[in-house]
Parts: sequence; structure tokens; C-alpha cells
Amino acid sequence: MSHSPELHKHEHVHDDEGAHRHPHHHSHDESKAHQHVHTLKFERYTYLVSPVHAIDPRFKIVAALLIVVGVVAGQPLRPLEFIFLVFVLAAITLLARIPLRWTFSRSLAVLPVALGIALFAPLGHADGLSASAISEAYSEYSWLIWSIVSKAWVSAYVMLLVSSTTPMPKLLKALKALKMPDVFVTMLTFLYRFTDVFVGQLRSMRHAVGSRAPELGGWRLIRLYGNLAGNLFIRAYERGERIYAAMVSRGYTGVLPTAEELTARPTDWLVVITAALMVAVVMLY
Amino acid sequence: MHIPDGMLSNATVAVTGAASVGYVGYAVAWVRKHFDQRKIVLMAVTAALIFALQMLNFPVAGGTSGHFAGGALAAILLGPFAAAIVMTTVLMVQALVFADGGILALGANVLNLAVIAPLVGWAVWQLAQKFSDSKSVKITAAFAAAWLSLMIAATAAALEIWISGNAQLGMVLGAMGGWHALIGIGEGLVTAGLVAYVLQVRPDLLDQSNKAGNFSPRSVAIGFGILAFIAAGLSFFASSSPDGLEFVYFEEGVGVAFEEVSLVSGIMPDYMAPGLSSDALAGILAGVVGVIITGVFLYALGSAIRKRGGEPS
Repeated sequence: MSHSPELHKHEHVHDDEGAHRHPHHHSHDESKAHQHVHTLKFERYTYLVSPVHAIDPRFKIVAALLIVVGVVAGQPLRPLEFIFLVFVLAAITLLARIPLRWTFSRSLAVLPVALGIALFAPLGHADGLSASAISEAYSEYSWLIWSIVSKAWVSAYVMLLVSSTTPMPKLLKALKALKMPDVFVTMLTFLYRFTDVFVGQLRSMRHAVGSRAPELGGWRLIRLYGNLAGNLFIRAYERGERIYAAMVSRGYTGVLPTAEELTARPTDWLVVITAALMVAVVMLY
Repeated sequence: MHIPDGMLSNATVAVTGAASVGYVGYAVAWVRKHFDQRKIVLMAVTAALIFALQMLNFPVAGGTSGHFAGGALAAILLGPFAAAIVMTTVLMVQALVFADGGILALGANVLNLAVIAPLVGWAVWQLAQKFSDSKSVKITAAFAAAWLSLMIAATAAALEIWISGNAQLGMVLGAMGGWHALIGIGEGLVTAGLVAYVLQVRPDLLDQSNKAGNFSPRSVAIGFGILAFIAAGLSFFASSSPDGLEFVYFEEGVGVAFEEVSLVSGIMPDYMAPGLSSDALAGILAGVVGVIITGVFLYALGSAIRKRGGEPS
């Protein structure tokens, strides 16, 4: 745990490079400094202090959706529009004090699938499968590849920006406020809370297999993995029964309570309006 | 398998989105009516587990790896409607947090992986239950359910990409089908292994879920009705070829930056795969709709007969 000059006074960095912001009430008390739930890898930067983090998540989601819908449903992006978007998105990332490399490398996850299919897209316009027809299709329709990949990337990056500048509890609260059915909010909350627990169990089971039967292979390994998954399911199910009992004993009535309060400021409206204008610029330019 | 944004035409996005919202909305209502709070919590824990199991990567051909999807497994454990909700949640997180699948394409991804895959998996599993009660049949059925659900979901994804005009039908079907035939083996092995273990240790859990997931012919008819609606909607949009807009855009020279690579002036190419006239396309889709409607009728007829036969008169 360390403090560096460029961090806000309520932030600190952990050894695993995760940065946290602590609520003001205990931030100056070292003994209480770790009374927060440790964040998962993907939410490493969600607890920072920045203008982007401060945007009301409801408005942030709406603004992001506006941009995604505008870009994806619109015409193929021309290079200038794409460069404009890249600059705006990079500026927002820097404003949020998130390392560009981090969001950028995560957004590349979209490329294998997008590129994998996009590379064959021009073939759809080939007049038969002769070499000349194929090369003609590629020379005429190579913009299709660009169109698909650029849209896929912008959409992925915008959503990553939302999810990496909003703490999960706030995001859930915002989705609820945006009228997402309760059952989905419950599902998402559990996914957030328990996926990491189960991944941890899975990992330790794999370690156990590796250390006890390192040379197991073929059919027996497959059977073992099946048993492992089944064992995990039964443990999860029985854990679920205990979780439910614990929830009921704490007054669960079917709706999950949240501590986060959302308050919209006039500037939040400005964010949405700016996003709309940005989309308009890209679409009408 | 998760379709990213930019690959589907706006019409496809609209139709698949509407269909998914409709089906998942029905699933939410169904779960509210049939599941108590305890069941919903267990469903949520299962969702987290399936998400965790997706981290299990297994090697596929050529040094690449695939991961578990879990649609059929969710359906076997929870029934198709609860599975739809579980899978939709997983897809939302993947799109929002992991850049896996687009936001506008979420409707299509939900349709493929949260609606079609669990329905197919569930149908295979239920069919096998009727056929025999032996353990080995059940395990084989779990494998078949998982493999088939993934294959059909991949086929649906391929068709959506093709209808959007972004791939050649044969090629995209072949690529998606071939790839997922391999991944499906891993999917099937995990599903079958899990089911085998649960059958041995807590068989009551599977019986329970079967009861919880039991649904009336009416709801099956609704499910198939929605699928028929999608097929019809897609065929309508595909035949009216709304993506001509993009071509006009480039042809009119608005896309100046693309001038060197822009289209040949003259006849606008149709958004159809070569060798397929719009008549053939309409024929294929009519066939799909026909198969679905026939299926609904057969199921309704079968269940009506069964009901009458089963009633002591």
C-alpha cells in the first residue's frame, strides 16, 4: 500500500497495482483503512476520484448508449470521424485518470471475433468463387472490413469506459433506476459477488489436480474435469441455500437494498447533451 | 460466437432485439410466477457458477481454445425460462465489462445463446427423459443437448450475419458450424460430466429442476411463435434490403474518403449471396417458418392427445 503525489488524498495503490478511493469518514484512520471489500481485477480503477467518475451513472449509461447507437447504427465511419472519436475517447480516459494502455488493451478483446468474421465479409459480394471474382470483391468491398472492425471497437471501448469508471454497486443501482427488472438486478449482484468466489474454488481445485495427478491425461482427465464441475455445482447450490437463509435472517424481502444514493446534478444533463451533440457531429458531418 | 457491434444490419438488430426483449420479458414473468425467492437466489448462484465455469478454457484445434457457454446446462438445471434469464445476465456482463459481444448486437446474442441454445438443449434433454430413465441415456442426452444447442446457436448467429449482408451464406455457415462442432465437444463433455456427477451425488437436484422447469404447451407455443415471428421479420427486412442505404451513401460520393475503394458506378449490387435470388431467400425463410409452425401444431396436438389419453374417463 502506498501513497504517491499524483493520487487524490483519499486514494492509495495496492501491491497488485489496484487503486482505491476510500470514503472520507475513515480515510485518515490507518487502522480502518481496509474496511472495504477488495475490488476485482476489472474494477481496479472504478473507485478513483475524477470528473468522469463523478457523473451520475444513469446519465453515463444513457450517454454511452447514445454514442454506441449513433456510431453503430450510422454510416460506416470515415477515417476523420474515427480519429475524432478516438481523440474524444482518449481524452475522457485521461480525464478519468485511467491509464490509456489499460482500457485500450482490454478493448482489443473485441478484435479476434470482429476481425475473424470481417475479413471474410467482402467475399459475400464476390460473384462466384473464381480468383478474379474474389480479388475484385476484395478491392471493392475492403471498406466493409474497416466498417465492421471500427464500429465494433468504438462500441466496446465506450462500454469499457462506463464499466471502468463506475463502481459496480452504483452501476447496479443505476440499471435498477433505468427500470431493469428486479430479477436481473439480483442476478447481476450475485454474479458480481460470487463469480470470483467460484473461480477461486475452481482454481484451487485445478491446483489440487495438478499437484496430485500431474500426468493424468486423456479420458481420465476429462472425467475428472466433469466431476470437478459437478462438485463445484453442488457446492455452489448448497452454498446458495445457506446464502438464502442468511439473507432471510437479515430481512430479505425479495428486493436487494443498496447503500448507494444517486443524485443527478445539472452537469449530468450536460454530459448527455454533449454525447448527443457528439453523435450528431459524427452522423451529420 | 458473441457477435460484436458493426456486424449486423440495423434491421437485424431491431428484429432480434425485439424478439429477445419479448421472450426474456415473458421469461421474467414466468419466473416471477413460478419461482419463490429461495429459488431465485439459487438461480442467481447458478448464474455465478456458469459464469465461473466459462473461465474453463479447453484446447480446440490448432492451438486455439474455446470456452464453455453453458446454455444447455442452464436449461437442464433450471428449465428454459430461468436459463434464458441466467444466460442473458451473463451476456450483459460480458458485453458491458469484457468487450465480448456488442451492445446493439446484444439482442442477437441473447437470441442465439440465451433463447435458442437453452430451448434446444432443454428439448433434447426432455426428449431423452421420455425415452428412457437410465443414467447412461441421461448422460448421453446431456452431451447431445450441449453439442446441439451450441451448433444451432452458431447456425443462428451465422444466419444473422448473412442476412445482414456481411458474409457469404455457405462460408459463414461452414466456418461457424465447423468451429462450433469442435467447441461443442468440449461443451458437451463439461455438461455431461457435470450431469453425471450430479446424478450420482444429488439426483434430487435434477428432478427438482425438471419439475420447476415443466411448462405447458401454451408456453412452448409462445416460444416457437416468437421464433416464427423473428424468422418472418428477418425475411421481410432482408427482402426489402434496407442496407441499400449504405451503398447509396458510397455511391453518391458522400464517402469521399473511400473514393478509391468505392463502388463501381452503375447497378447497385444486391445484398444477396451469389446464386441466391430473393425468391430463394424467401423460400428458405418460409421453410423455416413452416417448420416452426408445424412443430407448434404437432406439439399442441401431441399434448392434447396425451392429456385426453391420460385422463381417467
